[in-house]
Amino acid sequence: MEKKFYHTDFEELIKEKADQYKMYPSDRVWKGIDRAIRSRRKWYWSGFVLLLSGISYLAITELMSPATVVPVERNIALKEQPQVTAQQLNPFSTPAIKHAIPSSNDEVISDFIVEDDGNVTAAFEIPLKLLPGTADANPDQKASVRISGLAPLRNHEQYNFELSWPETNENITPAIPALSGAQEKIILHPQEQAGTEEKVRINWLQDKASFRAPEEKSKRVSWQLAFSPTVNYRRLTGSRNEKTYFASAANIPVAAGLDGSVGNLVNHKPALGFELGTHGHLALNNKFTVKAGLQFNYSKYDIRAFKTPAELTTIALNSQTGNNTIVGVSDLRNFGGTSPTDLKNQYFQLSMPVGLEFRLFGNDRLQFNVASTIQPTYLLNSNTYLITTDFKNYAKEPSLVRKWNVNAGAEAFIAYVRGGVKWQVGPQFRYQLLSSYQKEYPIKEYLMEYGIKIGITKTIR
Amino acid sequence: MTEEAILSGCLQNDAGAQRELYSRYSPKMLSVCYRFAHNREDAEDMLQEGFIKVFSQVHTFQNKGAFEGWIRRIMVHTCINHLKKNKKFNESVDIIYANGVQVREESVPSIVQAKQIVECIRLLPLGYRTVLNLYAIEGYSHKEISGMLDVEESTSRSQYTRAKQMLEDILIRKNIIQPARIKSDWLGLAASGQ
Repeated sequence: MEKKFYHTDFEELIKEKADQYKMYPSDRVWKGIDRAIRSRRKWYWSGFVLLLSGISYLAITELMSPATVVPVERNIALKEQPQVTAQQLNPFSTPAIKHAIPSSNDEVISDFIVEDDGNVTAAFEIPLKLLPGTADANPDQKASVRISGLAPLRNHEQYNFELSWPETNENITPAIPALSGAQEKIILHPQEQAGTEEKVRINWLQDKASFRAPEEKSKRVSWQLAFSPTVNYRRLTGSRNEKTYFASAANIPVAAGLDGSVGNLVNHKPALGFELGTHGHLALNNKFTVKAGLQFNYSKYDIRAFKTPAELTTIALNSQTGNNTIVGVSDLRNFGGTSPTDLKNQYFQLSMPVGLEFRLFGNDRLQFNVASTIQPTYLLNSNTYLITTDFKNYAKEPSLVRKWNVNAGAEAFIAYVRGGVKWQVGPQFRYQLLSSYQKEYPIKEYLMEYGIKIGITKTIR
Repeated sequence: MTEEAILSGCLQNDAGAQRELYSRYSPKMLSVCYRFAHNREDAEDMLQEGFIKVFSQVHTFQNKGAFEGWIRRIMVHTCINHLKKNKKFNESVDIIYANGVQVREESVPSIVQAKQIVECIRLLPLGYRTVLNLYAIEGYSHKEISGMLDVEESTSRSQYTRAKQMLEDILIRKNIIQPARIKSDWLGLAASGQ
């Protein structure tokens, strides 16, 4: 009795004195706390808003705006674009490249005017059939060419180029780069020599003037925006060899414990999520396309748990020393408890998918494709309940959740191409290759997503 | 600001309420961490980690006990996890086999300074100190301690006994308490309130 009294008194004294002692933390502690609790939300929302903004901007500029043809561009470095020289346009000089052999009737009429302000305008007519893409034109019909803004010329300037042809030839469209986007250069052929004065002007034009056609369009690069409503689930595994596995059989109801796989010891069910992504595509050939991009995934599934008064929980970790555990307090049980409640495990991930697309069959209009990607993934945020290793409780332990992961994706889709835009729809599957948790946690979780992907792809160049 | 208002504000992620909660409890909680920690810097790291957990899990507080007690439990568990994570606890667990000083239960002092007691507790080996902190100050049972530290319950008991012996010896050596007297003398001092 006396011994008990002394013991109690000693402990009370120690406790009393220890509780009286107060220490004041330095400012860095609060700064660290404040930064942690605010930056999580900032990061998540900023990243999400940035991604959405970027996708929206690209969608508006690339998909919704009509394509525009700008015949005249200024201040663009000459070396960036192929050129059609004045010599090639000039009806009075020897062509550098012969496009067609003109007949003697292919007369070219030219008129160069030097205006008061120094500007030079060249206007001439050429036989329509000399222009690329007009082989079937009537030999008597001529096209009018007018080039203005030739002087004062600077090396990096371009001049206006106008072309007109008889309206009766509606089914004939000359393939002029600036107007039609064709790849061919304009080549004209002289039929007669100009006078001396005109020659001077022409030579001056040859030296100074240049016309830059738009860059060649390879049509190999395209950009895609895709959205997928998904159904999310997970696969749980654990090894019986783990020290902590089945640590407390008393916590497991008999029926549930018969099988022994972790997935059968928990009551979880799929829930809806989504995937939003943007990808760049590079066509290697008619069959294969390489793609890479950025995508955001929101994954969620539900767990049935039960409320209980707060109790001590244990998460035993794989450790070489064999005795590493995390202890905590939880008011959620896996089995039993006062009232059922549904826990929502949520993951917000940002991925960089890189993959290959293969056209199985189809034509330029309708295609059937398959694709696969590998996706390095960063976990932006999560709201995750882990089951304790005795399977008794659910608890949160963010330090056990893996930040970096790798996912694999596979999809098949039907694509319909119209007006340079490809629409696609098809099923997709995404699987997480590494566990959601750190390797120290003996239970492994692999997320799975099934979805229907809807995508729109615009050819850029 | 009342505790209810602070709690309500924290539930709504109100920065003012969070700061108020921190200001109110951080001095006491830092001393809790300090008793477990290797040094003050470690204690502040534990405090920071603990408060981040408090703010992120405040919605799980069920108003069934004291709010301070709930925060304190989180701090204690954070400290234990921190020590384990840094392998500091495991390294000193085997100290339980060290020999302690003789038990002199009648040498408990009547009045000593809180700071001196805390500093003396911190002189104990980490394994001893942890068990003493958990049992004598935080009020956990040996069964709970065995679960938290992955040791047998009997180990927790023996470790506590030795921790207590050693603490008493330290207090005597530092002249914070008097050497062992006969039990009746001590009872006399205690009764007179000295």
